[in-house]
Amino acid sequence: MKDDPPSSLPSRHRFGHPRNASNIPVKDDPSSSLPSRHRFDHQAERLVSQRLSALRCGDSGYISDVRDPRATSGSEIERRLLEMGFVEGAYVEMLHKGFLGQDPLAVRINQSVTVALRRREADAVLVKLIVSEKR
Amino acid sequence: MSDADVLPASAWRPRRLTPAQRLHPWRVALVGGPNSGKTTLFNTLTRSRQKTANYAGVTVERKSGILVTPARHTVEVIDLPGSYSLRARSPDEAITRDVVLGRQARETMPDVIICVSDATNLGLHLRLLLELKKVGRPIILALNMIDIARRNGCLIDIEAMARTLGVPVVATIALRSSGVKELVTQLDDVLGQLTQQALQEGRAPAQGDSASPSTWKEPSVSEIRAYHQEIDQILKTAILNEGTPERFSRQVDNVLLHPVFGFLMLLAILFLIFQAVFTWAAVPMDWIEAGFAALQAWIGSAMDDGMLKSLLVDGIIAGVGGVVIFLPQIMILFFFILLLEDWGYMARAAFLMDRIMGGVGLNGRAFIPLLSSFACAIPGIMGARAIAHSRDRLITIMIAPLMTCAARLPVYVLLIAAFIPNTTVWGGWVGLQGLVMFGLYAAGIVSALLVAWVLQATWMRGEHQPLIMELPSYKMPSAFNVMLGLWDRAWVFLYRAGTIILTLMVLLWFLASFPGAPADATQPAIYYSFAGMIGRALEPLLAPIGFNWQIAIALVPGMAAREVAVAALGTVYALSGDEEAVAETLTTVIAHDWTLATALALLAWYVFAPQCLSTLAITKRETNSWTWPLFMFGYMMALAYVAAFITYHLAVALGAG
Repeated sequence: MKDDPPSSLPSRHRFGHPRNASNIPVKDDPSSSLPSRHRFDHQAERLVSQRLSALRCGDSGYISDVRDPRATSGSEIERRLLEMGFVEGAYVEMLHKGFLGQDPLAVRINQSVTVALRRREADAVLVKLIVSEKR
Repeated sequence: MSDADVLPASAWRPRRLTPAQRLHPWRVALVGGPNSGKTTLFNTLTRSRQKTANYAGVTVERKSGILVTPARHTVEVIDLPGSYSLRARSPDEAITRDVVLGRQARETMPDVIICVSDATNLGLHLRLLLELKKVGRPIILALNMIDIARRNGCLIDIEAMARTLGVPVVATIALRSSGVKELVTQLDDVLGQLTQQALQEGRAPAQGDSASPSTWKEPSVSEIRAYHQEIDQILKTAILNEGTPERFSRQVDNVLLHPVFGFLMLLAILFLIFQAVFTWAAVPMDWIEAGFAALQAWIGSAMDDGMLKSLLVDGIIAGVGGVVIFLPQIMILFFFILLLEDWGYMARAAFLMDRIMGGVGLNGRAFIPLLSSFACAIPGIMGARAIAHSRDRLITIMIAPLMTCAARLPVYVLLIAAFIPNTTVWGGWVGLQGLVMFGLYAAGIVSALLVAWVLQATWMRGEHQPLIMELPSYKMPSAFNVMLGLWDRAWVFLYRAGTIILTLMVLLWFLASFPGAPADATQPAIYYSFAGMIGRALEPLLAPIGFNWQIAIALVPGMAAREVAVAALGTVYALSGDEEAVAETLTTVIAHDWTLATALALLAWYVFAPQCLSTLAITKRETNSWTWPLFMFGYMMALAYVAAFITYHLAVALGAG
């Protein structure tokens, strides 16, 4: 999958930063779970695309595409995924997996809602994985 | 949380409604996601003035309550099934959509819609509000769980949000009065405006009106994406500080959803629930039984013998006792279900069980109801309410009676003691009697899974249901919610199901008592009763499976409950005395009178046969129709007959005849 330039991703994902320019103090939490080098600098990070079901626990990334590989566009699975918040540009983290066959998966979207889904549905979500240096 | 924080009852709810208030209340619908705290808000608004019924023709429950506002508006609040969108993905969500759009039979369109959103997950919940705006009704947005958002450091500019959205926004904490009072004040404003509008147009208020036509239609995928963009924009302006995401739930889940440890915790919790329903409930059940027996004895000694006494003592009091005795198990089971759901653990349990149960097409949340069916299917069938999806709920209800319930044990014990020798097999390791008992349990479970698979593959085929479920953050359970929920379930059971069960019990008593034995009777009285006639009429049908006329007659009063079969057999064989004495003598009598093949056939029969009217009655109540209990009766009878037939002839062929 070709790496699209990061500017095509919606710019909403700057957590911990104030939305407006007023003087509301920002809590700079160094232990925030987002990688701190959160700039769209594609020399510093390699963005690798994978199916959501292939992520390991602790991996995170941005959704690049939501499309059911087994059906045409606009299928029921695609709709349900979109409805639960799996939309292009959302930040996802793989949290937990089931113990039998690593199914179902628990994923956190945009650091707010946690969603459980099966591998079969997760296959429809393509994620640009953030591969950090320490791996 | 002190009592002062909860709304005082005297504040704005007068005890009695005037006739005018009762006739034309305003209708307000509570719409929101499944984990938005909507039901808690409903409970706080309406407290004990709640009514549970069913929507016409479907299994979905209708929860409504009455609220009288400070401005003296009488409001009927309806708690609609949780949904993330007006697009219906299940029959329950279809109800939400239909009621909101005014399409539901016998429901008028709501006057005002209160959209309840989880303030910590606005990205997910706001889309519903955008869809509701297209419906054309006045809306109030309640940002629920605002305390959790604030605790995470999230600052929301409520005015900015109200301006951008174009609807009034109120921040609420469902159990605290502060936000809820503001919500009701806002509601008063809206109702005031509606009244003005009605008066200007020359109509009586709250009687339905010419609403602006709804422009809602099911969003396509591109429209859903557009909604997400729109929500992003709204949140950019309205959220001043996103705060840090909550860590506690994630840390707890690292333990509770751990592949090994999480599963062990689940087993521990399930074992605890099972113990509670099976063992702890036995104490109050014994009290109830003793209480009713004392009542029977007292009335029995105070009255002369005769028809009226028999009706009162053996029919009505026994019937009422037979209903009330289910209460401890139901209360205990629902206590755990409501607690776990409020806390947030139910979703985790469904997550862990999904792989196992999804294989046969069952919902992960079906596990607890099915587990408690090992004690008694009645609370299990009621507990299926925890499953949000109609079809999954129906399948769970249909297979719950196949789980070997405690009432089957007296029958199993009787037959095993009489016919299975007390020897060991496999080199002295395993007792034969225990092995047979285990086999019977296993037969129940396996048949339940098979029936579930067949049902979901053929008749009840719905669309493939993907599991996409929110795992809510952990929250402190509310004692208020749990108590209200328990009260609601007890009422529903006693009033709705209890009346049916009582009627059926009295009917059975009648069949077993009339007509009495003639003067020159050679057989016990039951032989000459209607029950006896039915049994004798059934005998030729039951002969191919090896049942004699005594069994045939005993099965008729045995329909009351499974364990009654032992007492019924005792009556047919003219044994008298207390339960244990009868059972002991009975063991010897049938050991002489029956063949092994007959006994095995009867065991197989009892694995499947629907010998429990209470189960059928509760199924009627939970499914809101007679079709499903009749279907349950039919398929279980068919399975019982076939199983007994095969067992009998196999046993005869192997020389046990």
